Amino acid sequence: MVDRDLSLFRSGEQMRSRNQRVIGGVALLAAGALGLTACSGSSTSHSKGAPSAANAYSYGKIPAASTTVKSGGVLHVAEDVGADPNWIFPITPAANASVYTINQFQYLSWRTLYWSPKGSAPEMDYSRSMTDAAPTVSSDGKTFSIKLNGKYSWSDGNKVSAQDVLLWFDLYKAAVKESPANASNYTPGQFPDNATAKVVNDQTISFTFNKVYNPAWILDTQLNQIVPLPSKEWAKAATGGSNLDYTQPANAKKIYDYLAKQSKSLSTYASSPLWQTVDGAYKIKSYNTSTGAATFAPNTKYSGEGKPNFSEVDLLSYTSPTAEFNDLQSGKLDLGYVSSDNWPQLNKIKSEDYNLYGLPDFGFSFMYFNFKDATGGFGKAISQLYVRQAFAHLQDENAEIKGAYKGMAAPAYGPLGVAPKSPYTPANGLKNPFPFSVSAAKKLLTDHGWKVVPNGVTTCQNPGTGANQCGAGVAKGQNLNFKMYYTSTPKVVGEEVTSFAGNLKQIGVKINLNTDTFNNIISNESNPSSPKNENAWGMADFGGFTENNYPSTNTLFNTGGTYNEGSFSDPQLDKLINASMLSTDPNALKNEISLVDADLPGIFQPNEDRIYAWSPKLSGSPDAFAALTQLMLDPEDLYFTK
Amino acid sequence: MTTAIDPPVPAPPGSPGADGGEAQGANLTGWRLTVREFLKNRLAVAGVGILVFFILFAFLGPLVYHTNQEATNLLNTDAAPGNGGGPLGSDSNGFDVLGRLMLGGRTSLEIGFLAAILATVIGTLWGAVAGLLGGLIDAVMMRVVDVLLSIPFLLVVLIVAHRYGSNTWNLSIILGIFSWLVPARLIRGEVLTLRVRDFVSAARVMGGSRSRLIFRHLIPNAMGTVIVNITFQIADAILALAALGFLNFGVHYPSTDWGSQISDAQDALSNGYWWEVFPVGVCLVLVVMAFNLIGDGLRDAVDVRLRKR
Repeated sequence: MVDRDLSLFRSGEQMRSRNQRVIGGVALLAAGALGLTACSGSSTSHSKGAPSAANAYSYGKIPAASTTVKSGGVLHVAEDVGADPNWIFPITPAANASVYTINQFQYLSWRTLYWSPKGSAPEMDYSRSMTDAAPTVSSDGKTFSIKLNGKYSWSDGNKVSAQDVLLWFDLYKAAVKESPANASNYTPGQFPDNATAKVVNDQTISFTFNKVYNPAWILDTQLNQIVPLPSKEWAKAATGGSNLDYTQPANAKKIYDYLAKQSKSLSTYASSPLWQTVDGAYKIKSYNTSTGAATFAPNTKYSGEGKPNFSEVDLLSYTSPTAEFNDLQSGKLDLGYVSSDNWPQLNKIKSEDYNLYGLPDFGFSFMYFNFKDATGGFGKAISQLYVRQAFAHLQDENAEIKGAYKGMAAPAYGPLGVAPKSPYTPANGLKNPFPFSVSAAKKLLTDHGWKVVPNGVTTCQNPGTGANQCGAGVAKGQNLNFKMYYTSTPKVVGEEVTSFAGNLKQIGVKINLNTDTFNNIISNESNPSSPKNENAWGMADFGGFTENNYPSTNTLFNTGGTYNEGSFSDPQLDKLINASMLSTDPNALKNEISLVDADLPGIFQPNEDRIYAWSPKLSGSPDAFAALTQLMLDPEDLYFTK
Repeated sequence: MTTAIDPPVPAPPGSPGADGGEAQGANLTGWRLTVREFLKNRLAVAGVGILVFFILFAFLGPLVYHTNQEATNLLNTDAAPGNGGGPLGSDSNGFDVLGRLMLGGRTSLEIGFLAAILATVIGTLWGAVAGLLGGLIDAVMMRVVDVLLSIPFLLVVLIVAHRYGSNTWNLSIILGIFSWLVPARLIRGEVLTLRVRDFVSAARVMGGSRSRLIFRHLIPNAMGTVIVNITFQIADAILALAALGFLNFGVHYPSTDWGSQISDAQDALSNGYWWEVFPVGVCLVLVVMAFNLIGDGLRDAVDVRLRKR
């Protein structure tokens, strides 16, 4: 029972934009929640120079912020293809949770208590948070006190208070009690089940957990989900109704049901007074129920970091990356992404003086094994570490980066790639432990009793569990052929998988390749979701996952994990994952990631740069542009130049 | 008693074999006439030439022009013709485009022929049975055809292809069993005119069974229609396969087909990789056109009314 806090599925490289479906709903939060530095509250506190991010493996550069700020103007921003925002209430059901609905739509109006990333760096940005520092932890390690900094106010003039935090907590509890699916990042037994909340004073709230956890885990995976809600405006169960005591569970349920019902009513997004009470820089002005396109007006009472400089922010909807790219070229868009399919045309954008910047987002992509696949005994064979190591030797990351990604990707040898940098990245995550080598792969197999027939069929000739034998459960004469599913888009996924298949053929392993949609793969080629299919596939590739600031692989690779798609199991890794959550050892997570890198529950793939382009007349904090690569949209930190 | 396999040309009056009599000599004469007429049709002959070229290109080409179509070369992707790539450049996987055309052409032709043969066999039998039996059975059988014709062909094929996988045999069967409807109608119409002919009546009187009537008399005499139709069926199957491939439901690695090769046409053209689109597009057009020209020529040749237009 596990949790996959704050993580999202992301499909393929190009669409790694987790536009598809979210699992750990608030992953979005993770992508965007915290940070710190003292701040004055004005836009002048923004970084003017280089963004707060590692620039290795980045594409293009972010110019320094212009000092000639022009107020007004309409900012045209592209929504991701097929990812129209469709849920406005900041407690988002799993079915609606995507970074595009949460980070780039809800967050324009409602800010998180803790804000991250800081630019593109996976860390808290306290300058944009509602608190100036990490919570204070009690001596027994169970109670976390949060003091608000008083910087943010609601558009009705009231300050964001501890009661607003409590409202979110109580409604969140009501939501998940009604149905776990009502909150995308909910894991039974964890937040809010494992905590109680208490308002200490108007600006201080404390959370007491049921046992001692790793403080970093608490902050980065539990508390960073919080989005304060306007308790004086929203604590009601009907339009025009009176405020209810939301600390009573029955009332909280009524309030949640009312707000969720309003959120389902897409056609009233712009007209409902509910959604006009915001603490973010913009509030919704119109919403197209057909396309998901939306416009936002500035919140003139905004008191937080940055300033709503634009007279309007328009989120434009597209049906294909090429259509979006065409609008970028024509100048209709001021800010948009460049999908990998259009990378060969980046020079066209450059020639129009558009600025370009790209960096991998904080997450990973991988081809994962199905350890339960009994077809031809593949599951037993792949359970042998040396077989996985042989497979890993046949993935040519350098060629993939140069060819498929045109150089615009960062290597990744585990769930934490080399960029963006993370304090938790272990040494074996920085240097490829299994460099491309057909001969090394061949040797691993021959040393363990396999007869390798290049371009033929490699078979086990020496079954048994000895050091030079095929391993437990592998039968004499068994081959290593298997069936693999991968997403047909973006194209780079197919190129990576085809390259891998061609390399495997050189050691006599044949892959039966099949394409499918992202949604089909995450539902069918997943043992937790579809146990009936466990013998129908040997490997799969739908893309990967986004990560939060505390990127434990809990739920991904622990035995029985909710998103342990291929049923990987290693008792030692289970211990380390548990330690990452419960131990106070600062190296616990690094140890866990290190073992994942060595254990190879899948073949990790390069992390593609998420490239954004923006008009030369658009400027602002470099951190805001860097944050785009982490799928955050911060228009309060942007402006047109004179 | 044999039936004349002379679809096109009735034997001259008074000659043996008229109306289905035993007339080997008349048959040969009929076929010779057909061939002669066909050869007079320059477009049809050009179609044969194009088709022969592509058959040689697809099946014998790889023996002459050696390329590796299994190991990708990501360090040489999207290379322009003559610029690090082969004569026609390389694609997004680094595969040599000319070699890829040969491989894809072979798959497309194989599936086209197999699907067309399957569709023709099913359609011919269905149409012949319906036409011969007539009455309620005919009505039911043809309503089945009508119903199936009203179902979006491509949608069904997509679903079935996705469910049962995409390889040469599967796709041939899938395309074949969804392409027999038109031949069934054509053959039924042909049989309706044949079944009242004297040689059929004579066969009935002599105690010929229904299956004998169908296989020895009706189908052989409808063979002209069958042969003409099969050429169009091949062209249609190749186009349908191209559509499936374009939608990413074509055959999978290490195989390929022409439709799969143009599945990224929009991006390839936008990115300036014309060599990944135009050559395969031209091949597709030429082969389909060749089958259509041959079909037109055959139709003209086997139908006396259309001769010497």
